Amino acid sequence: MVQPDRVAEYLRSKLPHATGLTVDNVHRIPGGASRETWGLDASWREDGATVTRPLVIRRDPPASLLDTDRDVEFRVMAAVRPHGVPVPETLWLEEDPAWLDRPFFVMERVLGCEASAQKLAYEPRFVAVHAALAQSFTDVLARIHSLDPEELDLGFPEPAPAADRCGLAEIEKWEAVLDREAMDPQPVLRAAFRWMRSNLPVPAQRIVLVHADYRTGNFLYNEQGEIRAFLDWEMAHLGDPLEDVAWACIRPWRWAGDERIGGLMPRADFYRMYEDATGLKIDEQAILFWEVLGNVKLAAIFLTGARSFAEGRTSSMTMAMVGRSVNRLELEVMDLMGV
Amino acid sequence: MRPDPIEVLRGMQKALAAEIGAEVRSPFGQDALGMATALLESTIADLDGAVENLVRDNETIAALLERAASPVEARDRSLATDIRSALAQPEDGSLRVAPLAARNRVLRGLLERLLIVLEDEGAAGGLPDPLASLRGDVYAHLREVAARGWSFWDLLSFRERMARLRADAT
Repeated sequence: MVQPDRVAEYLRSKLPHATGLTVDNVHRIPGGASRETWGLDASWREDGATVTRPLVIRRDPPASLLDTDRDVEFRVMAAVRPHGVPVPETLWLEEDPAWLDRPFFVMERVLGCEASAQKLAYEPRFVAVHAALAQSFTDVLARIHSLDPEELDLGFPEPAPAADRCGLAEIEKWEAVLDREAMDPQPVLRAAFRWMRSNLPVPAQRIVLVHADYRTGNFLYNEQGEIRAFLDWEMAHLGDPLEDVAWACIRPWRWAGDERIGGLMPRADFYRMYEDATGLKIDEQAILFWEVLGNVKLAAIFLTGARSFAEGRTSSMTMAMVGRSVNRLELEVMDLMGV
Repeated sequence: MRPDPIEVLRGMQKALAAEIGAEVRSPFGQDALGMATALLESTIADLDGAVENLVRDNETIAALLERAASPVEARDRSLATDIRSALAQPEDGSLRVAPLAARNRVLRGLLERLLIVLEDEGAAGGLPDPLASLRGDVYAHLREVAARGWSFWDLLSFRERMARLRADAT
């Protein structure tokens, strides 16, 4: 639980000129499995005026789907926002657990939007604007990939991989997660790593900021077909832009249950719009590699959550459910490998 | 004893969805409750066939490993030795889930090592028989296992995929 009085105390420390600060409507927001997400409304008086701000707190969980650096997420969002990428305004990053028991950061809460992938796929008011959302989805990705990483203050702990090592870098990253987290033998995932090493993608056309969780379900949208904010930047890194394209395409995010990418659009449309917006070329073999990687990466993330649940470090139903869904990812991996 | 375990879980699922769910107001609570009921569905789907699946899987994997032992000898001697050693272990005949699952972990661990040998050899320039047909049978088993049970994704992303698979199976 996040107590309103403790949040108010923290906000007072950050807003020394504010008077009469109050915090209301503290509520847990579903989703965001790698970090707890809390909504709240803060009000205060400053310079003779009343200020009201809807805010979100992203707090480290006791155990997560994935151990990620909160400062990466905070810093990347802050870096891309001035460049026209729709993200919530980030306000404060707090590493000291004394305030709310665990580290957290505070950001703006974007109002009047939905995040649900299921509603987007099925509710008629959103189905009616699928074409606009598909275009917006592609345009935002193109915008992210057009940014010059050297001009952004990203501060990633690792340097950018060479263009011909992007695939290998991700293989090594996720194989290490599997080594660490898997509680049982994983023949399909291990075979997939072997397959990937034998089917590395062509070198990246350029090194870009990769969101690494760019998909339906991770953006806030409205009935006008606008994407107002892209969320969940904790896995962002430098790499091959096709990694993001393929991740957006993998079956787990085809929420309409058919072949439409993200439940929104035919694959060919996505490719065409992306190529038009970026000038980059879609290489089908590279996409195949990155889709296998994407499914294996998701399985590794899910096994991390499953382990947390099995070892009693979390009581999250989500962690148990995702662990029991890894077999579906195996099935998809075997289809993609053609075995 | 009645209600039996599956009836109990079904009852819990119904109570969570109807009576307890009606008392939960917050979106987060509703979401967690929905996930809990889905988890119960998944558990029920697995529970009834758990022993039969483990017995069959262990028999299938043991047969695959037996076929592999000689052909992999020249490629990975320690794997061949470990396979023979595992297959020589007498089974205690128990139908309890824990020992069956423990045996399954051992056999799947060997299957994992075998598959790595097969993938590496295949990548190095084609897999000769009998390893090529063995590889096909290993994947057929892994596909059967992966398609089993119930996942919340069968209602969403994997809906048409799983419907086709189940139609093919019948």
